[in-house]
Amino acid sequence: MRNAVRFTLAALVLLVLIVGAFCAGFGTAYLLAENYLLPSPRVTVSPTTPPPTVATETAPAPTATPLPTVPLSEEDQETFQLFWEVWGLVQQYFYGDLPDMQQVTYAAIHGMLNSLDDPYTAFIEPQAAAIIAEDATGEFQGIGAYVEMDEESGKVIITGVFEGGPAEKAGLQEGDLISEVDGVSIVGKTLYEAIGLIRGPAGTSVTLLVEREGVDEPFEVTVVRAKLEIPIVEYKMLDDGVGYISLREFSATAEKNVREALEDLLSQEPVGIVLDLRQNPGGWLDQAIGVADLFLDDGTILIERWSDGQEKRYEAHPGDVGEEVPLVVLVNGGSASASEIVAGALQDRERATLIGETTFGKGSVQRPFTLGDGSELRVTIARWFTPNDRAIHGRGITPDIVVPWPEDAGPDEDPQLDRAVEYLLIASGQ
Amino acid sequence: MSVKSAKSIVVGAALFVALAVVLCGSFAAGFEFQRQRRAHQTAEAGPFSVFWEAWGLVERYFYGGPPSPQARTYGAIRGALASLNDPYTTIITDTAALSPTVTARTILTANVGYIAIAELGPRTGAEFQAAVEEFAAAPVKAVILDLRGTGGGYLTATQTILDSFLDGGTAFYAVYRDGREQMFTCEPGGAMTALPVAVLLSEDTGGGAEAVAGTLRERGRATLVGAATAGDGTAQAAYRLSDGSTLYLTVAALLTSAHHAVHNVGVTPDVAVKSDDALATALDILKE
Repeated sequence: MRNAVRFTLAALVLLVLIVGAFCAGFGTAYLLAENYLLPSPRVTVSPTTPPPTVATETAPAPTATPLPTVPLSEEDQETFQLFWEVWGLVQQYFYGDLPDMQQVTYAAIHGMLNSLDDPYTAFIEPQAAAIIAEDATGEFQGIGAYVEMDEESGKVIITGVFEGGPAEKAGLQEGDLISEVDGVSIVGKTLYEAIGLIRGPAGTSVTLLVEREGVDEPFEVTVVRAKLEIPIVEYKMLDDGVGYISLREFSATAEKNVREALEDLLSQEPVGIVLDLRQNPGGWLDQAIGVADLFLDDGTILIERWSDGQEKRYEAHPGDVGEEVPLVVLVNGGSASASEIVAGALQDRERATLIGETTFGKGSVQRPFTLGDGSELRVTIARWFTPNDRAIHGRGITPDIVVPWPEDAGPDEDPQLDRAVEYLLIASGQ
Repeated sequence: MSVKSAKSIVVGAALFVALAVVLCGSFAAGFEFQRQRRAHQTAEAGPFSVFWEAWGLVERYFYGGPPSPQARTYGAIRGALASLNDPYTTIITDTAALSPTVTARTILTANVGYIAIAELGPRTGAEFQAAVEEFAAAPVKAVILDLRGTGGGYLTATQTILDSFLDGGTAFYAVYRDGREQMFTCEPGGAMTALPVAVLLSEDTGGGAEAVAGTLRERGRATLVGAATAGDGTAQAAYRLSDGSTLYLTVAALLTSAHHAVHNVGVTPDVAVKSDDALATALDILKE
């Protein structure tokens, strides 16, 4: 009898534990979806997407991040009924073809975001999102060319080729227009659709129909794709013993590439270093913090502040290679976002002298979310402030020494760099 | 240590492990259950569910808070209407913001009334009538109707304009998407039924303006001067929405009074000149 009671009790306890574990699992999945534990909020910070780099097959759609399902308030649903009222009329009466529901949905999202009046909160359709996500890793599989859409012809124009990359080897040049990819016309396609066709696994080849000024007939060029790292850092030792590092964008390998360049230059004992952030549109926040930290021993790099007044401080840590070397940072109106974070921090902390022109003034933080169908939503969630609590947004960073770019500057002239070198040489007493 | 107690330790450990396994399994089952449930919900919601994801994220995270649900709803509507690629299908939430579409003046040297219509929109009919009344006060001998670049085809505005020039009879026909055809007629009488008229056309004249030009010629009321038109030939109707705003929706293709299509066809002028020279040419014609 006693045993039976005991047994029942034990079974009950066991049952409660099992049900509890099940609920815990259910709850964990629920909370994950509610976004409390989303993978680290990496933050994108480009004012204009850096020129998409041609390369890989339509990259596999990224797996959907579990998303917070924010319950819709009844008021919102009621207000939104107007949308269906309108769309019902359109479906019933519109004279003309109706786009499919996916297109309508995307258009509605674009329209809804327009009402926010913030150019940085953006919706990116799945194909473009996949390509941008690949680029942000710093490498891709493709032909190694910078491309843009030529608005006039609807064709893709090559705006640059990677040094030593497949495109260059195959003879492609800046200014070439691509009209067909593997026999498929790209006129009428979006830039990202075209890039999706041009990219593909390393080792495979792609045939492009190319139009070139001065060549009468379009001609075919076959390029063997390769796995490529997007070249974001260029560095060299200048004649005067000044080390020069140019960073094109803050993609996932920015800190690593700058550190390696810095180590190499420092081993040659330079008088000082010039960090060139001109025309650098930004990139990942963690890379900006990392690059700034290379030159700072401790203290604040950046203050991120939400509209409710809460803030987060990003701090530097001692022990990096570039903490002592005399430093000049070159900036201009094309230096935005992550570039402004680095320049602002180094200026406020009196670690570097800024030379050039006032920066772009984009100091808002976007957080990317992957939506159910692989598209991406970037939402402005906060503003950035320099260590001395200066706002970046709408103001930019004014350099210590303003050197405007002369309109008549020749192709080989760089008066801003010249001024930086002069400054470092004088500072070092040479 | 006795064998018995060693044994009970082993049994205890085994029980403990078994319990742990069962609990882990149960946790995993619960986790998977919710995950599947959610995936199912998303799949069932259809393509529009992405919109609600975006809506929710903006509401929750947007810096400084998003504008009102109403403003965002209007934004979504404008976005969805833009996907129709038809500039004349719009939602108007504030009619005061509409800019005037009709300009009228008298060309004194020739004693000719000149009316230019920028767009056949919702307020055009009333504006046109006001212009016509001005001419009645300062009698003119002829009228130039400038439809160069005129787009849009708000049905009642199109009818009002034809009504001023025609003494009764057929104005135009609208053919709806379901094939249904509707005839629009003019009232007997009208302010300018007796005046000679020249209509100015250009390559980008579209919509209701094409029906106006085609009908005025067919009914022997006007000489068409300028360039062949675009062949847009569609018309809009207005729908009052529940919140007081208005939807202007392209609902029909237009046919002239003699049942000639203008949609995809256009109207060819009687006197073909460059649209920039059309006004001077028309004045010459009216002087004769």
